[in-house]
Amino acid sequence: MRYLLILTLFSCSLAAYAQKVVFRADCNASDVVVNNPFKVSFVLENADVKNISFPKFEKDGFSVVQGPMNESRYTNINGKSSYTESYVFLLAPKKTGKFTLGPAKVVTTNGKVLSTKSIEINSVAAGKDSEGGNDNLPAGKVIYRMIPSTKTAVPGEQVSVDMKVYTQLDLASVGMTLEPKSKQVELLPTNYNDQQTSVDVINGRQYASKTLYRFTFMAGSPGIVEISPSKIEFVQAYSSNPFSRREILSVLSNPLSIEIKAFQKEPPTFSGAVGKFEMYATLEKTGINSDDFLNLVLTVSGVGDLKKITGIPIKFGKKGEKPFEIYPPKIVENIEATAEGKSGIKDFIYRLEPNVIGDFEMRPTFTYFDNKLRKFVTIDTVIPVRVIQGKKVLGKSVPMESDTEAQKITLSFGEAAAKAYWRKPGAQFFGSWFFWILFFLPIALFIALAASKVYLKNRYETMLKQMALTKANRELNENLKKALICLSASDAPAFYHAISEAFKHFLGKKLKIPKAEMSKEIMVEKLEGLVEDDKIRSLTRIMKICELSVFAGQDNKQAMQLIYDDSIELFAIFTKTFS
Amino acid sequence: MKFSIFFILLSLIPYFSISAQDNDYKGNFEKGLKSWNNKEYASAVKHYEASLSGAYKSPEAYNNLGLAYYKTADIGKAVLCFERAIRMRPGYSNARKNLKAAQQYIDSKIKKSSSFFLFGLLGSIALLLSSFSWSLLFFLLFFSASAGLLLRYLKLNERLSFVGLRVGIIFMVLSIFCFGFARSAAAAQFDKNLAIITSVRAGVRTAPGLDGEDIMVVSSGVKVKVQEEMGDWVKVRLENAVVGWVPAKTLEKI
Repeated sequence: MRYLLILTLFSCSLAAYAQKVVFRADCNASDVVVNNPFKVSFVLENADVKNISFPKFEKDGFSVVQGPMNESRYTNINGKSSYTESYVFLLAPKKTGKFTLGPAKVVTTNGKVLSTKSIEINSVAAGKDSEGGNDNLPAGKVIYRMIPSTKTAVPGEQVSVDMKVYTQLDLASVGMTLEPKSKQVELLPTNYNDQQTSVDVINGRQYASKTLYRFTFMAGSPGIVEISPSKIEFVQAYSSNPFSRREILSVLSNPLSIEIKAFQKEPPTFSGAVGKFEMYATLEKTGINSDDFLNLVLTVSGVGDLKKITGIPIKFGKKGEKPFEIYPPKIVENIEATAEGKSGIKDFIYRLEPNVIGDFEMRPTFTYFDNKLRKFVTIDTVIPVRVIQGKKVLGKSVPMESDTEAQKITLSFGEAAAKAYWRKPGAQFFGSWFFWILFFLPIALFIALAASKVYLKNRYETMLKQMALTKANRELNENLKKALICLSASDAPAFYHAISEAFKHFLGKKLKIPKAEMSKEIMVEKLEGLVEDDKIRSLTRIMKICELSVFAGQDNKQAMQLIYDDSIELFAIFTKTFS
Repeated sequence: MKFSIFFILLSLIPYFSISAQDNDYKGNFEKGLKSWNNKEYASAVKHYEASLSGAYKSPEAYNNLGLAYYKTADIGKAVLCFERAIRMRPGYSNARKNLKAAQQYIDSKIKKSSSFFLFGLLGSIALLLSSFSWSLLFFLLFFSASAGLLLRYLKLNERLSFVGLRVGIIFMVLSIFCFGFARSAAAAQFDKNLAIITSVRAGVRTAPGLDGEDIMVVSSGVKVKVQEEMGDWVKVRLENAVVGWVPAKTLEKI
């Protein structure tokens, strides 16, 4: 177990030594009030101190209030270990003026000699002015300020507003009770967490200061952005009277006014992004043949509104040259809100297909507005690319007529026409309504012809029927007339013959019974279903009487009259039935 | 009277404006021809394009423009112009010859999906005349066939009836062929969905947008049939029956 522990420590120390060795000096103030303390730390990272020498504080004009306080710390984050050893002093300037705190030197256990940079300190005289605070506070003991990252922004710039408190008291339970607001922009809180307390001098009074909150907003169109004051509440941690009631105190910040100015002379390649960015290009190969294509990945990373960047112009050596067909890029982005505002990385994946063969210089150009330098910055990368002939025949290599043999081109082009015939392109005839009218015209003609033929045929037949009917009626009238004369003359055989002939002729025509087949039975058979049974029976009776009279010679005039009347009645019924 | 003269003059304005346009496109054609003869091909392209920018078109101008494009190494545009010339006049043999010559430079990987040889033969016959000419021929035969069959139907006399039936049947069969040719020619001549790839290369993808996978890459001059349009992307069917999406800017409709 002991060996294991030693081994672990050994490996840890090896890992620590493997890290970069740094010796630095940190100071929490640049301006201090004379005789007021400030903190200076000398920090050695990833090495052990063999020998250390500090600046001559007294000689440099400072008195040591406290120190050195020695701290050492070992950290291991995700397998990456580091070791720091710090020496902390509380110093106070003895008089006003600008002082330089000389460098500290260290000799590490492995013989490395390192020294820190000098620190400039401005010592000022104590003042009496006061600012901020409320009636409950001793004037000027606590100041609360809103500090913008810039007082003049440009459209698209990300502006941060720090809520900073300056205090000469020990504060506890600090909380914001009134958030800053603006009508022009949306203020968004960030996850800002300032661990460091620094020293600031305001109006000749020294304060411990700390940024409590940070809000950000995106500058829009030109104009003035007004931000209303914020308010914090707190209690005093230590009081002169330990038994006094702890009062909740509050302090109001200043309001802010930030001007947004329009850009002056935007470069044509300006992407619209404002912040601090970097761009780098990745090309899997710089030489391809005409059958191939290139995937160019342009990566933009940094702090600012990356959403504004929608593409990166790609230029080529000569103006107007277009050796590649550039397709709209595929965009992959990873943007997150940090304490610094929106930041992240955005990849533009371009597909480039060669139009011509040759050597080219590809020049992706990205321009943004640097919010620190307050000017446009253009990142211009030059990538040499070579396109060689593959199977595909590209623009430049299309053979002219003189090269046709070399390219195994067998067909040649014709001559240019010396004369042209001009016309307005007409509408399509095939399938138009006029086309279909012409198409259906003969068909309609045939249909009409066939219909008229059928009609004429029907009409002819009707006419023939009418004629036959008329003839039958005429014959009937003649026979009945003849029968009536015979009845008057009491000529029974002739009378019955006329009646019989009248029935035979009339029904023969109506029922289309040939003369050769005409008989009483045929007539009855044909009439069945057409007239009522009693009428058929009546006809049978009359025909039987007529047949008998030829052989028996009946001359009863009264019976003849009855037969005549019955016959007239039957003819009336038959005429009605067959009309 | 004054008003009448005024209206007559007013009605003549369009005539004069059309005449001015006529001179313009004819003039541009002459300039194009002059540039061509001087071997100033880029200038010829410019003038021929100007001559064809109006309402009046000419198959000869399209043919000459195609030749000029060929000389400026733009095969896609050359093929497009020859196709347009043939569309205007299907029997234009010079444009057909030039189209075949230009097609030698097109990607040979894309072959037409094979069809029964007889259909190919009939398709070739259909393209010999314009749809209008085939339609006229169809009506000539169709009316003749109808007249023959009418004689048969009417049976005016035995001889006429005999001749009418035979003439009717023969002409009716021929008219059916002409109808088919007219239909094919109309489809080729008036199909608004046929297009030519004019970009040097176009990647055919499985879906619109760069997220789609590459199916194949086609070069300029390849003929495609547009099936669907969606924003900046177009769904096309290649002659080898491959269907996919290409950027709209890579093609031009015939």
